[in-house]
Amino acid sequence: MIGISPLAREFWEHGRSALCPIYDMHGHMGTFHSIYFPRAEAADMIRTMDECGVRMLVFSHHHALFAPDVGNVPAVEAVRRYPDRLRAYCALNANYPEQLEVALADFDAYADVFVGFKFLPDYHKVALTDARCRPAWEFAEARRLLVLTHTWRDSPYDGPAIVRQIAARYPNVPLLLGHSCHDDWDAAVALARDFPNIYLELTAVFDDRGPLEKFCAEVGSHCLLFGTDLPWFDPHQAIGALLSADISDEDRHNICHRNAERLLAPFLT
Amino acid sequence: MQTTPWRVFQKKMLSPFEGIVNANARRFSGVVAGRRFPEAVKLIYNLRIVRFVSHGQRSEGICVSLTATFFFGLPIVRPLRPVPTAEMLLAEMDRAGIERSLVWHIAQHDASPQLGNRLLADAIRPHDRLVGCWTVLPNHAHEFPPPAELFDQMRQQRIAALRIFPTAHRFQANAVSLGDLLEAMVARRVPLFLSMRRGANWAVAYALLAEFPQLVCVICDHGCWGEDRSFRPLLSRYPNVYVDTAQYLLDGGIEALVADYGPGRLLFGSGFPESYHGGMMLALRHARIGEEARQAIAAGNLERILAEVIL
Repeated sequence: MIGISPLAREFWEHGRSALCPIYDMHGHMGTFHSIYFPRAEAADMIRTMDECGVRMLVFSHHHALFAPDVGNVPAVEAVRRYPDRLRAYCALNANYPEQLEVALADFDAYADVFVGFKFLPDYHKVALTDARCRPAWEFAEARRLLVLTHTWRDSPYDGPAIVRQIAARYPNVPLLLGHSCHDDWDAAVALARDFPNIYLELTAVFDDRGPLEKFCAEVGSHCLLFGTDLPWFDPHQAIGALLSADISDEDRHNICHRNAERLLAPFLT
Repeated sequence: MQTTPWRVFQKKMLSPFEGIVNANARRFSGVVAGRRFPEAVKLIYNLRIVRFVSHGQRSEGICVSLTATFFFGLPIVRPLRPVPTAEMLLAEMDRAGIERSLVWHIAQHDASPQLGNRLLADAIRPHDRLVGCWTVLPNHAHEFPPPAELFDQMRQQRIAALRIFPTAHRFQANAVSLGDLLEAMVARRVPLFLSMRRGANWAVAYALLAEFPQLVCVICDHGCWGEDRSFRPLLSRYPNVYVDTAQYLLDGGIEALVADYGPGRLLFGSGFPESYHGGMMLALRHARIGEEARQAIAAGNLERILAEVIL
């Protein structure tokens, strides 16, 4: 089977676990140019979450990331439709600093929606360290907002060297490394060891055999976060991988919910 | 010698889930698609359905006895968790509750098909639970035996399928390069595996199938970027094309594909050893499809494909 632990048994038989709820810290929503999504809208995603035992999804809407004309409006609407199940990152595209400025000015009006910011540097072609991003970083630093950023090995926009500068400069920002500097697992480990404000988010890591064990052994599961890019990846695939890895159920609890509960607590009161 | 149409032979001699342990082949004379195979051999693999083993017990609700895409051996670039031997592969299969697998050796891709094929044959020889998949090249430089001899070697070594890696091995996958072999594969229903992650791409698959529309072709490792827009046209056009579930991480993908094409075109693959067995196992276990569809994807479809191979 996929594991011999009590958690494995529960997920295998029921598809979800009452004792191990999941907080998916890296989601999206809506149509996207290069992928067919059978379940791209909020209602379908909520059904998937129900089946997989995902208590809450924190997401950035595809249209907010890829259509500056639209912005974060669809994310706001979705969170307010499902306030018990969804929170959003305010997606920022620093190619449009005037929009970024407005987003910061209006942020407090969406305290029920946003837990922080989402950067997508490899796609926007703006490095995290670019001066146009600085107002957002300073805003997040002052308010201790979560920041999820896409990270990938060797990237000049969001690779490990860039992340290191940001983590040192803004120590009060819980910095969630989307995809954990994918394929440069040693760099991800080094960053998590060096900076207590860094969390390794596991979207697209779950389909690689080995990094989960490496992260748990070399950093510890206290800084790992569950993520799926939903509606991209089936959460059951991620859960199956998590249950297959040579780690403990305590590690799995940390990854699935404990770490996220701690991070989200200030925003869910 | 009296000839026997192989389908009649199959009907007489086989039931879909009949197990014949340690007897991988029976000789017969056959006619397939109007062509005579006087010494053809119909492989009869052990087709016992074995359910996923859960916590030391048989687990109800799903069975995966035959998977399509595993490899073992040491890649040229060391992975975090290598699986160097067939014995270690079998241990991992036991851990996941997987009974049988169609496997290949990474040296077939990374080093050379000739070396990798030999390593594979030697490694699986003691293990009836493993069925092999060899890699081939164009034959114009006489790097491989002619098709009839190749198939004979496959039968002797318990090899039931073939792979090509045309982009990695620097040849053209078309009738000019591989026509004799591919025509013979069509006639004998030998499946060809094409990995979109390693050694092939969509352009290769489209061009190849345009020339050999009846080829039994399994497109595997098609990627986590929801490749439906690429493989669905092939499923629509070519009746013997299949896709596997390795890397098919798309939420709702299995359900949508079954709804549009039925359960018969999808084969279970986990992506092991580069991915965990359990990821796609849990996804399939809880997919919103019927039990018959789940069983077909988990095992039945590949069993049917292999049951039709004539060597």
